[in-house]
Amino acid sequence: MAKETKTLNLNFGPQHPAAHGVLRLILQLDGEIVEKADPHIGLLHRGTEKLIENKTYTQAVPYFDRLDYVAPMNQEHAFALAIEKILKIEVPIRAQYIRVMFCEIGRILSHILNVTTQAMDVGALTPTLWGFEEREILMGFYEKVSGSRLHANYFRAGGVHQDLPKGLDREIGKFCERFPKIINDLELLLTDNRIFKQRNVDIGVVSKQDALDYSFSV
Amino acid sequence: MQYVQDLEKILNSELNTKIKSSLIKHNQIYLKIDEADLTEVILFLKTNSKTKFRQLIDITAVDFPENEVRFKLVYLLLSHEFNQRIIIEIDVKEKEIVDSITSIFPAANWMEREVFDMYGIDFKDHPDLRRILTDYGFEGHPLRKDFPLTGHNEVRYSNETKKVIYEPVKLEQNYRNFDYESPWEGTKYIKEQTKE
Repeated sequence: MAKETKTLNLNFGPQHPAAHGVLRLILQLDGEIVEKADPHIGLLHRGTEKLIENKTYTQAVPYFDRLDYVAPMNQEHAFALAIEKILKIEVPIRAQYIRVMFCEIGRILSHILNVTTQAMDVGALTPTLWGFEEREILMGFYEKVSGSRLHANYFRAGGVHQDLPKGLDREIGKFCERFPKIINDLELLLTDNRIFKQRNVDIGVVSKQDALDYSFSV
Repeated sequence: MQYVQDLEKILNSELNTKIKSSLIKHNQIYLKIDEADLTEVILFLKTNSKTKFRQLIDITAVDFPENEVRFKLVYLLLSHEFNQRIIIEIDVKEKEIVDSITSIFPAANWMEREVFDMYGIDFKDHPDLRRILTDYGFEGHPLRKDFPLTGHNEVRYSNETKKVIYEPVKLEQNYRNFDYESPWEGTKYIKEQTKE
């Protein structure tokens, strides 16, 4: 007897806890397999380009924090670098170091969020709690340098808004010594965890050619 | 640095008739080509062993409402093998239809949809040319320079009808442009008021 299959059309979102934001997908499901997805991605669109057309360069910086709120300063950096390229501005070496340092902090911030919430979506809450404790410390550095935990508005075309407060460099240094242990802990929790593997292995595999064809940029 | 000039030479000799002008700025090549040659040039850049621009980074447009040829379409390509980027520009008139490059780069699908949504430029042979970023039932193309910054409609919850409704934009306060010459002297209109 032939097995009868039936595809199911499902509307996912725009408000759904697993979407981590607003994303609407029109899904065609065959059992648990997604056959087709039509993503509606515009629900977070704010017209940043249009808004900054009407602003000066410095006024435009805060909009970039909002483009990627898990690594705000990295977006500011991209904007600052673009202006410096156009206007041929040379950035003082100290500012360059500060910017790269805070971009690395942003990178750690976003990677912690990415890895640990992925674990949360497949059923593990502990990594999220451990990871977010570290994110809290990193966002403390953001606050100490810019006055704000998320929307920093710290980078400028040609440098940064102001110098590091006294002693912050040491604090960041101490964090760097301590943090690898946290990564080890997370690794022990996840990498060989059989439930984590069961739910992730062979799912969403992207070949090299697909990555090139579909413009994967990271 | 050396390689950019070499690349420019290769492009100019191989694509000779198709290139309107080429320019090296910020250590990157800017190519100006005709709209009709677009797919051919892109396919060449992708497949030629000396260029290998195998990744499409973005497609975007710029609006110059004062020009007769209103839009400039911009294609950004990346060659991983040679660590080079290239910027290809074509001029497009309003209501002119451009060839889609989705058959060369599948990623162009969404990028062309975005350009269509934001600037209203149509693409020929695009598999699914719908709006991508704007609201359901949206009218107009927001990144055109003649589209107002505030938009046309606003959304609010109406207590009378007990649902979310769309209305023409009503500003409680006029738009203010804080383009200070200096932060302590204030804007132009304040200067004019204090002049007397």
